[in-house]
Amino acid sequence: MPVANRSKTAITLPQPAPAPERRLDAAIVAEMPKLRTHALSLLYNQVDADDLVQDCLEAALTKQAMLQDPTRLRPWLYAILNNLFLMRLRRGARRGTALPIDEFADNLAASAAPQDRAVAMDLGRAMGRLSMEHRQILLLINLDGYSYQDVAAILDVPIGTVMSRLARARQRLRALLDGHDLRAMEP
Amino acid sequence: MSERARPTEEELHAYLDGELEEDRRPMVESYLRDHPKEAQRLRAYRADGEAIARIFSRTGKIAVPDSIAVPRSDSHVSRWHRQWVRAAAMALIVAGTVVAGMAWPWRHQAGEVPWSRFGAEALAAHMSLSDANSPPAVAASLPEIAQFFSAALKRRVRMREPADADYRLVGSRFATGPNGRVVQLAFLGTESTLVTMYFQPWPGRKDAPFRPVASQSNLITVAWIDEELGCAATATLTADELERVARALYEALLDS
Repeated sequence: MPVANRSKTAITLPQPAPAPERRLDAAIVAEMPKLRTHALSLLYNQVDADDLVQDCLEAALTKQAMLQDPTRLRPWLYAILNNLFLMRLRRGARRGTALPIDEFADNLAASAAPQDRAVAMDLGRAMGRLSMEHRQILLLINLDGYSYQDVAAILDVPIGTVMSRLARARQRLRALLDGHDLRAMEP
Repeated sequence: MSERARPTEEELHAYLDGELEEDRRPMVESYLRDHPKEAQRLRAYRADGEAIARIFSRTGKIAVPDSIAVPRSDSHVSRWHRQWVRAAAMALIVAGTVVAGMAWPWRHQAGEVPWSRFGAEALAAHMSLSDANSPPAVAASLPEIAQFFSAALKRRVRMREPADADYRLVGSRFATGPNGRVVQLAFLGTESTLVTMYFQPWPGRKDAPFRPVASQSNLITVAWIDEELGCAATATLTADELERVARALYEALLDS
């Protein structure tokens, strides 16, 4: 089968000027990898993470007219993701299901730089033993780089709650990394 | 230091995160100078935060453990197969929504090729699989795909797995696009570059040369039509390099 005729010259197609809603569609799609990394780090399960991100994207594309400030797209998407996550928790979708902590930690270590593998293994196990609430706030602050104000808006809680929750999450993570068994303390 | 000047736990964390009000910082700095163990504790928290950022940012690159990789067997439907199907569904939902607006300018031009729409579909399908270290499950064999093309185009199409050492076939699937069944193939390069090819039979369409049709960040999609078969290739390569790779893979895939 012959291949299509080849154009030897560089091709630039004249494109219609993108409408604002089309640009927003593309911007939402472009956030997908970041949302997926967050969801996977939160849920420790690729299938559940993909489901959550898919639901989030469907909701975002449907409700994009409600986004008042396009510069706030990313925190808006994270707020949608968080709401969907909470709905799942309330429905009990994950209740009683143990996280595959060791499997995830093994994979995290395998994907880390060689000098980071031991740290990745310990960190993956310790983060997996935190409550979802604590893991989530550590990810929002450290992985996603949000300010306290953004986190308060995403989680729909007062900023004081963000500060106290973050302090407790850091203490518990450090205790786990130091080898203390906090199972009794975790909600 | 008096008890009055002692910062709260929340203030210590806010200081660590650069969120403490300006007028409270000297008090915290003074406290940390006087309490080296507290300063050490904060340094440990900072190191933990940096490790979370460094290590969890790579979760998208988590490899598929060999023990659960999907064999090339139609009877074995693992969670990785489900993931591939789910990713396909996600891609098509996103693509469908994105392209709905993009296709609008062509609604009265039935004879025109909707390149932007086709490119957006292919790009969205690629983005759902952009984790190059997680090869998708094989959901359709090349003979099955060739059979589909043959029926749709009413001529015999034969396909074979490319022997190209630089890119190997890691996934193939059928999916349902806005205009019926489509095919997506995924190839992984020696440097973990993921190249996806997206095919849609287009009976009645004339041949059209390679052209860039969509881009997103550093991803680019080129497309062409060959003997009524619409094809799009997507990767993080330059347009020229992607055209070269796509041409080589296409020639190796389809028998004359």
